[in-house]
Amino acid sequence: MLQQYRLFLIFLYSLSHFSCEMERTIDIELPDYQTQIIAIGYVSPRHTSVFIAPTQAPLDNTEAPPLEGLKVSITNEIETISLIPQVEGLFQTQELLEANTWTLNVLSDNFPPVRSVAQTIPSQPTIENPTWTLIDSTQHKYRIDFEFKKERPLDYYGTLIEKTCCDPFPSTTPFFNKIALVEAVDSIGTFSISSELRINDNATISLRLFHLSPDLFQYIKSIRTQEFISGDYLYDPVSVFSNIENGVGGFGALREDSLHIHF
Amino acid sequence: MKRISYFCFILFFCWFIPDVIGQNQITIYGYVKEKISEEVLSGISIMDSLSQQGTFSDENGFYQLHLPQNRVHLVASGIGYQTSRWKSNILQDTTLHFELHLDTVALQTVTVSAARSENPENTPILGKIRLTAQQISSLPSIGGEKDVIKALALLPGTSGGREGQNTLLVRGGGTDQTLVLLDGVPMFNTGHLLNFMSIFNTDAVKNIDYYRSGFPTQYGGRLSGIVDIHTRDGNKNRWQGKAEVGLISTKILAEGPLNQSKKTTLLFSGRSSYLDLFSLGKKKEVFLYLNNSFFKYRFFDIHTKLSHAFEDGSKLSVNAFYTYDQLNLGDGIKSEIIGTISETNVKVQNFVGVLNYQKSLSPQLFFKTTLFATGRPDHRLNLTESYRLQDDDELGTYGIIFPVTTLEKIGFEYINENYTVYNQGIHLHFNWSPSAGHAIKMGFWGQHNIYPVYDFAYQFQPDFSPHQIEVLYVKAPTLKALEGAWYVEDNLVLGQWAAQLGLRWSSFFANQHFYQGLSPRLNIKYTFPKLFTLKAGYTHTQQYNHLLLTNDLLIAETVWIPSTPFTPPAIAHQYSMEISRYLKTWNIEVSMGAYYKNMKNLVQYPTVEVVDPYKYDNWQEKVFTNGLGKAYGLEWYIARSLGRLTGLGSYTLSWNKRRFPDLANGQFFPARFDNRHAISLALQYQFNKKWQVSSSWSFHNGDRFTLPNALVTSNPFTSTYTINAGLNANQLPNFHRLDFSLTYQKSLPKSNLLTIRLDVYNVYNRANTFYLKADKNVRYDENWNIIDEENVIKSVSLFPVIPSVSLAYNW
Repeated sequence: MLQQYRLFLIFLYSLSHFSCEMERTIDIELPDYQTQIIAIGYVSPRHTSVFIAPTQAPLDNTEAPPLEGLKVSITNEIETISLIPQVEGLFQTQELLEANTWTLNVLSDNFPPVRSVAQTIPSQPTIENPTWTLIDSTQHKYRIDFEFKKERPLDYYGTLIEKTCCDPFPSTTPFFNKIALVEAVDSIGTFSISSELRINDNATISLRLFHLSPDLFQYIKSIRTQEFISGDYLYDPVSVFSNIENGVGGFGALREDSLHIHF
Repeated sequence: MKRISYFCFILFFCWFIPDVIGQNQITIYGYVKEKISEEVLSGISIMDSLSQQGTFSDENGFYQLHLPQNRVHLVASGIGYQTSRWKSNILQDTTLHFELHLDTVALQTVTVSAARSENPENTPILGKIRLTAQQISSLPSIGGEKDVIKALALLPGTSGGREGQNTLLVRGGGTDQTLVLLDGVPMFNTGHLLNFMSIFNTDAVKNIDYYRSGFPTQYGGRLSGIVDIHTRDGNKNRWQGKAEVGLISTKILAEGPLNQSKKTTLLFSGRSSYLDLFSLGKKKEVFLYLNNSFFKYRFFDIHTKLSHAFEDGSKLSVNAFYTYDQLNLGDGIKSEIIGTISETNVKVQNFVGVLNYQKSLSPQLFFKTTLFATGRPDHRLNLTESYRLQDDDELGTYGIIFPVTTLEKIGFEYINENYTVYNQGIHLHFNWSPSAGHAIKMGFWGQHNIYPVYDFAYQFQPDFSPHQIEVLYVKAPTLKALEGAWYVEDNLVLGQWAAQLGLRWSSFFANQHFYQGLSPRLNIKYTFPKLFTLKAGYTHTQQYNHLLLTNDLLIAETVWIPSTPFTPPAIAHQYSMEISRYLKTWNIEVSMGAYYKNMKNLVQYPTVEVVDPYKYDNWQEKVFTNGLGKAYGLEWYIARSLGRLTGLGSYTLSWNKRRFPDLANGQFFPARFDNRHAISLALQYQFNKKWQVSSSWSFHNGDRFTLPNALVTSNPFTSTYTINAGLNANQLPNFHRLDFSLTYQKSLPKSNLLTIRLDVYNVYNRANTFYLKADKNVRYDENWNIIDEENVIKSVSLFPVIPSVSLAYNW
């Protein structure tokens, strides 16, 4: 009797065990996909850079159609400056900009015109009291500090401390992903930035302080948030900010102060 | 908010007017108990049929009735018990204990789900439902495991979350917004490790008070729901017990008096799984031969309660509750010269210790105090070891040479995590009844929380690199918090009106920061004679502890964090109303309710890497904060509690939205469990004293999820990211499931009882979605070349039709 009961239990348990992890394809209505133009970049007084490309289908491997007759420019009420194509969708200009407010325009033969929300270049930030201190000579470890003053709430800042010369393994992280955002946007006063790095002789370290337009701050923050949780896009998704009409992406304005330290 | 507080303050003092004008009244008070076991009974109606004044026994079985000095004719009645009557002339305050006999005829027919054992028209509290252990036991279950939490999920405005899970989402609230109390002690976690079963053994449970709104002021600390589980004291007159064998576990219960005077009782219940008997593979062999895999899971829980009734009517009880879960799995992989072993070992425990003392200090004043301590250690080990295999010969006895394979460890990775959360606390509660129809409840709740005690140890040696061992040890800073609340609540009955007005002042001190808040509560009832009862209420709640779920796996770590300046206390305002009617002829209760709840300072923790040594250091940087929530809806409810056919039906139409500054560009989006329509039906039919059939069916619209509608590829400015059409804009297929049970009971000599029960879970084998995964459907030709491939979303379901048989023996 006991043996029969045990067999019966094994049968029931096996039934439930083997039927676990039942997978099936379900009929979920996928959102309509239409290729759009991606426009990501920034305008600054000395250097403007924009990446232009078509979006990819997220659940499909089909190639996106090429953008034909592409013309990229930044405009304000007075003038229009064309950006010069570089490699792989990058458009840039080194022209010195005198006006403060600029809009990105992208024209192509096979897509509707794309335009960004107008961006105003923020005021000049200043790196103050930079110091570098050797804290571990055996490992060539330095602590680098600097300060900056934030005079108004709702001013947006970001910082970047990186090796710019002679690093055997240079970083391949995209530019916006490297910027550390200063989150205390409501606060004012002197902010201290500190970082510890292993620095070999002959290296160059760049300290960069960015004053960002609100749109650029929000865009960088949202892509960083999605990057952080991007284990599986079916869970906990984040909608990335976009200020591009008829397309997607983020176009912002920034002004930069930088300091290069040679070791 | 200030206006509401001011209004409540004025109203509170006006309240005492009836006491000033009250005159020549006497108080009859005492306990209501079940005759045989002497278990105290709550929710029993005590009514003077001459003056038509009445009351109900509270959760401690205590009642107070204020009546004019005159002849009284008291009637004590409750569903499932024979009515008891008492007549006398009363001239002074009198103690009177009622002992009710079980109504064996009625008991057979009470109820799948006669969820309210008290007439809902008699209490001003909105959204309160009481379930008894018998009611829960009569519902169909998975593997015969009766479950408190799953039973509650059938009620209106309540969702059980994902298929099979042991969560309770109340009126749009989150997982952490429901306070679950075991004999007055807040529990950190209510599910066994895989979260398919609750940790509460229904054999030891007496009843459950469940609140969706209208929280009495003694409850607080969570935004959306209260589940107050009361355990039994044990039979005072004789030793009795129950043994049960099911598909998943075996249970035992023993209870009885410890001495001749029958003043001290002991109740012991235990449950142990035997899933490990069917475990796959053997760990020892995997470790010896670096081959195959193993899986082993087991759990057990133990509950012991010792109660002593003193001569003066006071009562002391001590509870100890302990649960243990262990999951152990791993595998070994061997190539020609190198083999690896990986193992995951998770051990989770819950322990609760409670000391309760209650006493009637005077005819008007009842006192109860609770001291408690709880903890939840969680230990996780992830191990990977690499071995070099070397074939060799070994010289045995008599010169025989044996071929042997020796293993030489060449690399390893050990990740050891310990996470523990503790709290200790005290609860003082007074119930003062100064005059007829007027009762004041007041008290203090204080607790000391320690969280998270977390340490992480990591050791790593790359293969063949014995001198490159990396060691990392991280001990997260321990946070301590003091949480306290003072509360007062006035309950008043004036003719057709009844009201409950309360204030709860709560405070929280953690990490040099102090938070406090005043939570007014108001419930009003008006009875239109012979028509219906109308109730309306406002509930303000504050929550100082937030739950972080580190991932969406079944063995998810549940991490509680305190309020900080970054994660301030969450606050909810809930407005609700209800129209109900009790059709006495049919024993049917019908009600319709509406609610609107808004919440602020919500926290959401995203999916992150499971192994992250700093996850409790820098959680503040990862969590989404300052969330707003909005939930509103309509609820319909019908229940029949007596007769051969009993059951309930509920329909909920609801909306549930969230808004976070860093999600969905700061716009409102549907919450994950924004299930627009939800229907539950539970029916039970008693053929005769031996046979009973029970069935439940539940339906709700699928949970929400997000699909990307475009991809931005990696570029000089950003990594690859997805564009979403809208957060949680997509919906899973609808959820529905039918469960069934058939029970046969056979009476044996000496009042013993044999119960055989067949449960069928998911009768029509509905493949409800447990989670989604992105996959590819690939077609190959005969040479295994890919013809085409299609990206698809696949639904993974866990539970097919699961029949099970359980056998119970009561003696």
